Amino acid sequence: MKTELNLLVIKIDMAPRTNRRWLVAILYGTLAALMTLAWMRNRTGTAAAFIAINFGLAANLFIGGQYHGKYFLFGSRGLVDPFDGNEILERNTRKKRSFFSRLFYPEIGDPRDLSNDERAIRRRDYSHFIAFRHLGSLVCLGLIIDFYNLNRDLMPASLSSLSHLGMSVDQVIFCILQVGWVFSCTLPQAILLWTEPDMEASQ
Amino acid sequence: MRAELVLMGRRIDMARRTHRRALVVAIYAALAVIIAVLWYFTHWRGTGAYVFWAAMLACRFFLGGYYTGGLVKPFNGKPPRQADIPPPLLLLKLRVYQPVLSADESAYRNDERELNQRDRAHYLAYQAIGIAVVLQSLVASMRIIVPRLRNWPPMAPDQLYYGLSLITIALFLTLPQAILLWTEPDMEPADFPIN
Repeated sequence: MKTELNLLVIKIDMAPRTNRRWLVAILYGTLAALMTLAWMRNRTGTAAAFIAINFGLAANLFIGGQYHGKYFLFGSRGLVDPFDGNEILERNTRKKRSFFSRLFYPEIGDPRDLSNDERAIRRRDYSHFIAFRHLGSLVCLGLIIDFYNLNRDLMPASLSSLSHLGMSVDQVIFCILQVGWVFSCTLPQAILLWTEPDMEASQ
Repeated sequence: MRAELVLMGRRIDMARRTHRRALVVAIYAALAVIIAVLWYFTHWRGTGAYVFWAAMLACRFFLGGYYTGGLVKPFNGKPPRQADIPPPLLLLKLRVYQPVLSADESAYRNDERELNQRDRAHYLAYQAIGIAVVLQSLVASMRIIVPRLRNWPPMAPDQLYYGLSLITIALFLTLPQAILLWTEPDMEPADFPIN
């Protein structure tokens, strides 16, 4: 994990855990505020979906984990080492690579930026173990609501409407899935940033 | 991971990887058949929850992991709640109770290697669940953003989404255990004594 976040010309020290927790809280807080605002202004949920999709992709520029290239605006990849760094290195050492392999996994710069040591791999796997349950709980919630939606006429009349929420069932499910998309893109990295203890600045 | 299953009173050797892979294939084939049959007869109206219960029972009796029982040790490493009382009557009738006493610490405690394997399996399973969530999101967004696509699939959008949810939930409940059973190499029977 990197100890410094390069944001244009600003360098933010991320060695203390409190700074990393602030980053996670700011990212998710911003997302929650933007999505709430989007749902209030546009009840079809399309604006919120646009925000969620782009947040899921753009947050990785800060927190890392997914991307492994160099980025112009941000100086370099995010804080967390790429999850599949070793696989990418192994793929790049092959002599024969297909067109698609070269398209999706371009040439890399310094291999040290990508390689994961044993501890990093263990931390990565453990964060996915924790994130798996959270993402699964969200999927369960979506299933329960959809079960309720599909069998509305089998339910008591008092339960056959979600009007007290001010949203239709379709909208509630759409909202849950937007959060699910963001979780699937960012939650393991957020868990790593949240739980990793203070680091030495020299690291 | 346990090296044998007890099913209908018979002990089935699961030390060999081919046996475990056959079990995984059988479980997913059974789940697929249940989903298809329920769709054919009821379009999952009122019966979709059976898929959920089928996946739970598969975990309880065969896979383990999130439940005590089955081949994979409990992921949380905690002892079963009813360690000192006999198995429920249903399990005794079906004769699928565990051959290893649940009070035996080795039956539920994961060593470091097993913890690493557990986390690795979840890392792989997370990718699959993430893709399933993205697919669900696409279907949900299509039915809102492009309403004319509602008539494209041969089923109502609600039902299509519900079917995807059922598949996702079945994967969520079973996939990490299935990955473990699929990838673990052949075990030495001597390394896994049966109490």
